[in-house]
Amino acid sequence: METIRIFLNFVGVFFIIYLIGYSTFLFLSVIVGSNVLFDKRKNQELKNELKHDYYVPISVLIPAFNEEVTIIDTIRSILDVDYKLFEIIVIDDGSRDETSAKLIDFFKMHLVNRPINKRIRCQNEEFIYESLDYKVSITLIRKENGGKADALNMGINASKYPYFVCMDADTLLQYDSLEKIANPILEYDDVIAVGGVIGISNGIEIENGHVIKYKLPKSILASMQVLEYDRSFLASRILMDQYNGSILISGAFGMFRKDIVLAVGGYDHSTIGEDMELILKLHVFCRTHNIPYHIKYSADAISWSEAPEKLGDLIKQRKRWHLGLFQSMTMHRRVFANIKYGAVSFASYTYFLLYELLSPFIELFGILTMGLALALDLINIPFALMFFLVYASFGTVLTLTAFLTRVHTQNFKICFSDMIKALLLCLFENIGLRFILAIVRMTAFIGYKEKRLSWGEFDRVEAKK
Amino acid sequence: MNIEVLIYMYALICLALIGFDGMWLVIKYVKTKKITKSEADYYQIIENHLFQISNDQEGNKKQIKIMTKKLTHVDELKAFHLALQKHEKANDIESYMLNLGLIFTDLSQKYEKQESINKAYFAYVIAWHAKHLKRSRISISEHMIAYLDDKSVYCRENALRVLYQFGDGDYVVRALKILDNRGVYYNSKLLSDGLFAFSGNHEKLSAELLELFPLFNQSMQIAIINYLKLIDLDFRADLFEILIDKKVNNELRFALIRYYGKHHFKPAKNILLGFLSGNNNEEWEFAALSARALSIYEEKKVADALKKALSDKNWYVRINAGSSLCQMKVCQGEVQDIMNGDDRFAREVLQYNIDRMKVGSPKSANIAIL
Repeated sequence: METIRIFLNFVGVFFIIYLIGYSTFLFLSVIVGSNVLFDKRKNQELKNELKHDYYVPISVLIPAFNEEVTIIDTIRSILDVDYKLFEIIVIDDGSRDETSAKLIDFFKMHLVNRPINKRIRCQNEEFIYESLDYKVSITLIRKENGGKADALNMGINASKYPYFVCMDADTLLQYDSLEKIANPILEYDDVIAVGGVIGISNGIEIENGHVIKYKLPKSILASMQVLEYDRSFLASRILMDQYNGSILISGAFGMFRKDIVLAVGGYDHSTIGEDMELILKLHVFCRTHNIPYHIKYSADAISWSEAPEKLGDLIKQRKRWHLGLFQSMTMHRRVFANIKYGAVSFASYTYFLLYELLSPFIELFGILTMGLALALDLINIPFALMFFLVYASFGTVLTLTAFLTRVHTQNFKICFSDMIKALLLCLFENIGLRFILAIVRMTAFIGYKEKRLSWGEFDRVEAKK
Repeated sequence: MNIEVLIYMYALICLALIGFDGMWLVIKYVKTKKITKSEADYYQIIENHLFQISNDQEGNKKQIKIMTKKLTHVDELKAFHLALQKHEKANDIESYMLNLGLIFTDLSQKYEKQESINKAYFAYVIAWHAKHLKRSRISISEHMIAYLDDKSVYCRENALRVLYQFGDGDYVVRALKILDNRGVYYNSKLLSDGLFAFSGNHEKLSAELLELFPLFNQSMQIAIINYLKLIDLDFRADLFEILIDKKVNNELRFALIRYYGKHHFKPAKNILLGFLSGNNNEEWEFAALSARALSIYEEKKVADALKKALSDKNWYVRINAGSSLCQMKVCQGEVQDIMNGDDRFAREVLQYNIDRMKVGSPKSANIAIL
C-alpha cells in the first residue's frame, strides 16, 4: 500500500509539473500572440507596411486529389489576389473524379508538351495543360498517383519562380495574402520559409478575396474547431516565431524559398506529415551547414480552409495529423534535447513531444492512475473536482481570449449570439472535444501502414460567395 | 505556492486581456468617431484657407499655430491627411501647401522624437503630399535623413519614399550612403524599385550613383544595377568594365548579364556568347542567364550558339536558349534540323516554346527564370 501511495504521490507531482508547463506555454502563447496581433493592427492603421507594386515572384502550387467540388473556386480566389507577379500550378495527383476535366473546361486550357526539370524525385506526368488567358499563367499537371508530397515535388520541379507557395485545393486566399506572406522576405535577409494563417471558412462569406460576412459556422463541431485553431495554432505559432522556433508550417498555406527546399530534397514521400517534416528538415539542414536562416510566421497572411463538419471526417483528419506528427518527430529525433538546435529543440520540439505527440498517452495514464487512486480511496474528490474546474475555466478563458483577439484584430464584427455561442463552446471544447480528440490521437496508430501515404479526404461543400 | 493560485493568476491575466479586448473595441469606436469629426473640422478649415487664398487674404496665423500643435498627435495628423486628400484637386492647393510646408517642417522635427510607428506614419503622409511640398524639401529632407537611423524598417522605407518623391538626387545618394555605411539589411528590390520611382532627374542621380559605385557594398551595387536596368538611359559602356572583371562578385555579374539582356550592347554580346559556350557545371548560372539575355541580339551567330545550347547538359541553359530562340522569331525552317534531330531534350524545349508562342505573348514564353 505504501508503495502505491509513493507511486501516486510521484504521479501527482509529475502531473502538476506537466500541467504547469502546459498552462504556462498556452498562457505565454496567448499573451504574446495577442500582443503581436494588436501591434500588427496598429502598424496597419498607421501605414507601417512595405507596400510595393512588385514583390518577389511566386509560384503557387496546389496539389489536388479528387477536388472537383472546390478546385475552380480555389483557382478563382487566387486570381482575385492583389499581387502582380505569380503563376498558378495545379498538380492533379491521379484523381478519380473530374478535377482535371473541370479545370481544362472552365479555364479553357491548352495541351502543351512542357518539359519538366525533375530535380527532385516524383511520379511521371500524364499530361500538361496551360492557360495564358488570365492575369497570370495557369498550369495543370496531371500525374500518376503518388501522394501529396509527391505532387508538391512535381509542382516544385515545374515552377519557374524562386519562391513557391503551397496550398490545399480547398483553401481560399484573402486578397492580400500573397503580399503579406511575401513581406518578411523584404524585411529580413535570410528568410527561407513563411507560414500563413489558416482560418476556417465554414460560415464566412468571401467575395473577390474579401471577407464580407464573418460568422461562426452553423455546425457546432466546425465552430469548436474555429476556437481550437485560434488557441492552438494562431497563438502558439506567433510565440514560436519570436525565437525562430516554428517547426510547423501548415501545408494549407505556406511559402518557401525554392533553392533551399531543392537542396534538402523537397518533400518526403514516406510521411503523411510532409509539411512538418520539411520544416524540421530545413532547421536540421541550415544548422548543420551553418546557414543563417529565418522561418517566419506572418500573422496577417490569411487563408481560409474548410473544416470537417462530420465527426467521422474530423477523426480521420486528426488521425492523419497525429501520424504525420509522429513520423516527422521520429524522423528528426536528433533535434530532441540537442544543444545545437537551441530553442527549436528545448522549446518547440519538446512542446510538440510532450503536449502533442505523447499527450494522449500521458492523459490516459493520468485517468488510469486516478481510477487506481479512487479504488484505493486515496483521492481527495472535492479537491480533484475543484482542480478540474479551475483548469477547465482557465482553458476556456484562454481560448476565448485568443478568439476575441483574433476577431478584433482582423477587424471582423461578430454578433451577440456568436459571442454567447463562442463562450459556451469554449467551455465545451475544453471539456468535451479535447478529450474526444485525445482518444482519437491515441488510436491513430491503428491501421497505420495502410494509411501511410493516402490523401486525407472528407466531404467537401462549395464555398459561400 | 498552491498550483491553483498560479492557475488563478494566469486566468486573471487572461480575463484582463478579454477586458482589454473590450476596452480596445470601445477605444477604437470612440477614436474612429473622433477622427471622423476632426476630419470634417479640418476639411472646413482647409476650405476656409483656400477661400482666403483665392481672395488674396492672409491666412489666420493663430489658427495655423494651433493646428501645428494639434497635428503632433498622430490621430489628428490622420484626420488632417484624410481631409487634405479630399482637397487635392482644389485650384489653390499649391499656394495652400506653401503655408503647410512650414508646418510640416516643424512637425518633422517634433515627430523625430516620437515612437517609430508615429514617425513612420508622418513620413508616409509627407510622401503622399510631397509633390506639393517641394519648396520645403531641404528642411524636411534633413529630418528624413535623420529618420533613417530609426530601427523600424517601415520608418526607413517611408522616409526614403519622401526623398524619392522630393526628387532631390543629392539627398537620395546621401540616404543610400547612410544605409550602406550602417550595414543594415535593406532588400535590394525595395531599393531599386524605390530609385525607379524617383521623381527628379534620373540622369543626374544615376551619374552620381555610378561615380560612387565602387564605394557601395555588394547588395547596394546590385540594387543600383537593377535600377539602371529599369531606366531608359545609356550606361552600357560604363558598366561593361565590371561585366568583364573576373574579380567582381558573381551576383553582381549576374545582375549585369540581366542588364545587357535588356540594353543591347554589341561588345557585351561576345562576352555573353563566351559565357554560353564556355559553360562548366560549377558556374552554369553564367551560361543560363546569358542564354536568356541573348534573345535581344538577333543575328545568325547568336541563333547558332543558342541552337547549340539546346543540347547543353544544364536544363536551365537549354530551356532559356529555347525561349530566346522563339523570342528572336527564328523561323521554323531554321530549327528544322533540331526538330528532326535525335536530341529529344532540344526538340522538346523548342516545341514547347513554339507552342506557347502560338497561344500566348512572346514574353510569356519562358518557363525558366533564374
